[in-house]
Amino acid sequence: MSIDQDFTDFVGARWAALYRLAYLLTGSPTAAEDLLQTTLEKAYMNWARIGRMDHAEAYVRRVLATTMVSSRRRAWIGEQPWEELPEVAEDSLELPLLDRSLLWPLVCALPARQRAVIVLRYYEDLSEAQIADVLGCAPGTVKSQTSAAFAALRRALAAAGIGQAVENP
Amino acid sequence: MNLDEQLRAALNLEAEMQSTPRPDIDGLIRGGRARRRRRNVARIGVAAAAAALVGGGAYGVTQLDGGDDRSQPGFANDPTQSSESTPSITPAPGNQIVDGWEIIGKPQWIPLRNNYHAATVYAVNRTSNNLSPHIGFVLWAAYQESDARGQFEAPCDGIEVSGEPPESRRELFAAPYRERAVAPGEEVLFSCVQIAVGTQANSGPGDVTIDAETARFRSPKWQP
Repeated sequence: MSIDQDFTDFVGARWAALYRLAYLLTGSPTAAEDLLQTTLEKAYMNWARIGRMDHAEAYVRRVLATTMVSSRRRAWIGEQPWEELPEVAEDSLELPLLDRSLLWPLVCALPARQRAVIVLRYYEDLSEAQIADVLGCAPGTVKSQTSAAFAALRRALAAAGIGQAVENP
Repeated sequence: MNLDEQLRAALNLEAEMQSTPRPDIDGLIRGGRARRRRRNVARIGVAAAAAALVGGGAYGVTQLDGGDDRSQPGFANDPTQSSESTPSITPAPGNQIVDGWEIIGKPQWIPLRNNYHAATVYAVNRTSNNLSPHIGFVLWAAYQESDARGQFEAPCDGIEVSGEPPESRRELFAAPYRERAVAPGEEVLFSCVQIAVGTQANSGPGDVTIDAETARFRSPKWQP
């Protein structure tokens, strides 16, 4: 099978799953498409090697995460920091469970690396060691980023008056 | 339900709710090929930049210190004589290594197109800021087979560039490839070497072709 055909088969089979991960990492459909395109172009460059791997998709997911974190590092000027987190619905106080429309904007408001850690942990179900491997950092960094992300989320939820609705992990 | 579970549920739901666009696989492959091409060009550029840096500095310094060498026959020696009689760390007449660069190994003679031959030596810059030493190659000498003394034909048709790097380097590398390497019409102070390495996609080591030409700065400062 040619490299192009192999790559085409891979993209056809895994595009949807990779796109969903890209969307969660970026928080935007258009940014997700851009990120996934960049990632797959990078993968194609070395597909002769990647295509022979036992876990080619895991490798591509790793490239996806590192590309997102590094691109956000370079393009930090594109984001405007705000002191206040996004507005949440008034009636959230009454909800026993958090609606995704409440929690998702708060996740999107996290810094890129913290968001990546949260998505890899709770969507990809990776361990701290695996996340550290994917992001190319120390496990201690993953712990501190997770802790910082949780602290930010709790602060935001408390500010919205629903801090009591969630418990510590 | 704690925040762990809330996050897991929210992320999975958000991902499932998101409609997925169709992939443009042809675009991905085109983009990947373009990216690979740029990467290869960048790698070649690094090698060519090193060659220009070392070759240019070498030639220029020699012109300042040993201009008389050019009047002697055998400006560039016979390839076999040169590679055997020249110590590995002593540049051939007309060449000198700039500060910070060190030649490693003996000159390797390579055939160029149209009966040109050239020798390359590998050089290492141990003062590079990179983590690993920056290794480039230097055009040792180029001459046409019919002229065993190595004297270039006149006049020089190499591109003349001026100014400080990186502008001068960009100008040099942007110059079109020329088939002939010929001598300058007048004495020069600095010289740069332009080396083009040609490869094709998915080529192996045997498919690489090396073309070279000298391109020289003219300088009114030089006095024989």
